[in-house]
Amino acid sequence: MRVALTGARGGLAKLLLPRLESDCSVEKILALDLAKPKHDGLKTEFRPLDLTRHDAEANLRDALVEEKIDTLFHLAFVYEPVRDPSVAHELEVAGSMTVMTAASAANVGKLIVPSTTALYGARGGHPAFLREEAPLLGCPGSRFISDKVVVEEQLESFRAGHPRTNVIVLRFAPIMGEFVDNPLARLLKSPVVPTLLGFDPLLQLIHEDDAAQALIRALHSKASGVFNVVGEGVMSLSGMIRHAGGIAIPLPSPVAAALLSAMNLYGGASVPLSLLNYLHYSWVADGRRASNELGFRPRYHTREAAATARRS
Amino acid sequence: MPKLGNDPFLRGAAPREDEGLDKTTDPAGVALPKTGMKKSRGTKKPAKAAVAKKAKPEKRTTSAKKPAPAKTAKKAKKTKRGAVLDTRAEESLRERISHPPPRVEEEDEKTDTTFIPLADLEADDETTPSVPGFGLEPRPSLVTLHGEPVLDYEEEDDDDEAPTVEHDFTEGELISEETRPPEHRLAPAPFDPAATAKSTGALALAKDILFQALDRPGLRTVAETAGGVIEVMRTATGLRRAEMLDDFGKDENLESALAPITNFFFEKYWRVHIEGSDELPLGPCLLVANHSGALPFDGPVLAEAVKRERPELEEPRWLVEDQVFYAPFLGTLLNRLGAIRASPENAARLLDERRPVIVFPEGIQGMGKPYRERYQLKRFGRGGFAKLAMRTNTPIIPVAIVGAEESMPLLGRLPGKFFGFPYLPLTPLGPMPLPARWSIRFGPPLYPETSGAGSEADLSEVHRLTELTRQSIDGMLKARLKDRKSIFM
Repeated sequence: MRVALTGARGGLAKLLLPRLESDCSVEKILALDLAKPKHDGLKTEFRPLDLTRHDAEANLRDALVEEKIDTLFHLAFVYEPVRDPSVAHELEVAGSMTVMTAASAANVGKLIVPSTTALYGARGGHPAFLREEAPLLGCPGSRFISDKVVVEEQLESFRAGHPRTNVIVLRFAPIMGEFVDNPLARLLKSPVVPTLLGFDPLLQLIHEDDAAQALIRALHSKASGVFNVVGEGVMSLSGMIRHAGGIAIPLPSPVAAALLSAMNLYGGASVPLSLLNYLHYSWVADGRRASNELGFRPRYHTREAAATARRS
Repeated sequence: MPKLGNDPFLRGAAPREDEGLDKTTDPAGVALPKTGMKKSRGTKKPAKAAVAKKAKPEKRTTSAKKPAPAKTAKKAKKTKRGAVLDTRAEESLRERISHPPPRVEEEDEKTDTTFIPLADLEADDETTPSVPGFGLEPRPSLVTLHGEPVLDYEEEDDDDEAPTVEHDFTEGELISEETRPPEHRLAPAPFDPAATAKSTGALALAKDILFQALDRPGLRTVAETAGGVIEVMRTATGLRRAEMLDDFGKDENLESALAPITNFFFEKYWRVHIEGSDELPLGPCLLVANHSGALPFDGPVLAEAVKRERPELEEPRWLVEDQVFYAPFLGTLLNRLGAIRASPENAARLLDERRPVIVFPEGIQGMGKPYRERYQLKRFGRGGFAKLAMRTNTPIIPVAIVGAEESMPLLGRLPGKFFGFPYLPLTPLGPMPLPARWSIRFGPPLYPETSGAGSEADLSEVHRLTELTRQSIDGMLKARLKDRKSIFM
């Protein structure tokens, strides 16, 4: 298998590259990003790629054709804090479109795109276990999430229009670990976490090793479509905060938002305020489809994933 | 010169002519604990060893009484490095070897505690010789007198089997701690002066007396009940921080913490009377009940009733309406107690798990009706439960609950928008229910006649099932209300 991945400097790539190196069925790894990642490997070759340029599609297509790539991981995302919202939007929406067209033009057999269960939204009205067919309600307050919902819609129409390309979308629960960075991870690493008074929703996490395992399984699997990839079990938010070593402070909603902004300004955390929406009602995804079709079984419980945020 | 290996006790020792000594007690006559390593008595001169062996029988008995004099007979030896161990230090070392301290609780029975780490024997080492057996791992690089490496000493025989070292226990060789002369006894635990003082002092005695006096059933129940109430408050505010929840959010530990309260309410306060529990089938079923009372007690009480009456069934779960489930404090608390939001997907998943699922089709209207309209069944929703029963082919068991209305009569509504509730119920005792007598009656099951995936299109069947359920519950309610002579007694 000849594998390419965009976003080679990101957290998911850091997890994935060593595993691809040690995977015997992978002959060649093409790492694409703005600058060379620190990873060194016998099979890895780096090529610069800027997905926001107008000629990115042609560059990518040429690279894929030249290296005869048959699987493409699209890991190029900007996680919040979004310093430049227009760049992030470009990268997400236009960049993903670029990747899709280049992949189909280069006859790449499989396209694997990570996503997040946060796209389901954490409004009320969800079933206790969200299946992949549930509508993506997203979060109107977060541009990041809204962009990702648009990307998923694009992938859906791409899949319909290009039946020869196997498009696998993995919706990950918030990934916890030392290499990955996302808003919930940052929140759990804070010593003090504002929560909403009177609410203690159920949340899931996934350990970064399990996330990497899922990506590898997607690489080898013949299945197609969207999969929820989650860790085992659920935890209440307060239990999760305690397990991560922090202190939960239940506050009325406006006061909690104020405390969070204060922490962002003075405490060095950079947690978007829209994350408070996700601490209101439960959002638990059902991982049965990944288990049945991809053969993915998480090795770590949500508890253990939360424990990685503990400062030792 | 025989190979002496690493054993500090063997360095500088002359070869021993009598191998048999390895397996027996040392010449001091004190039996050593069974060890994997052949004990070295290398400091003995061979002559003395021979003499000792001959005199073994007598020596044992005599030395059993006087171990001290025998030990002082040991001589100083030269280590390999040439440094001479101080006689007294060496003696204390000997003592630690021949009289190992009592094993601490967590030690493996088979681990030999008399190994002294190599570092402790280096004369120029600044570390004080630590007493073996207190969390030290014996060095794995030790070898026996004859150069055989000490293998994994944890793989020694069990104490139950015949020991490799031939101890003759009949002659009282093992000297227990109590009979040891005071100067040879060792402290049994890492020495903590403060703790020692506390544990032996009058404070401990006072504590014991106090706890015994307080350890009465009545007080314990009060304490447990108070603890349960505190846990409820902590759960509602999100301070309980439970870490073990089931996938739907139920907190098992909370359930056990509330067991005294549950028992009290179920048996003494409400005196719940249950009839017809044999109607419940094995396997999944839909328990459809009337909803009443200003606070949703009927769900947990019915679930508890099913658990007690039919413990062989899967644990029942009850569904609550959105307005209750999403309410602050109350919603969290109910979720931790086991409530699940009422939705078709959730109910279908619970039925997949072969549980009895308790539903209240009247919904929030059932809870919101004023006291004068008690026991008048409101509209049964849109027949969602009937469609679910048809889709999954599960029987419907009508349940009539009497007593919930009187336990928590809704006398009025207060504005609750500020707190996030649609309204705040006005009840006689606030959150505390009244001691009405409850009666739960299970009716005969109703089986859907058309079933399968697309069957909910059969609206006439949906209507039939809904009507029959409603009539059944209504009939049981009226019968019970007629028979009831008093509400609270």
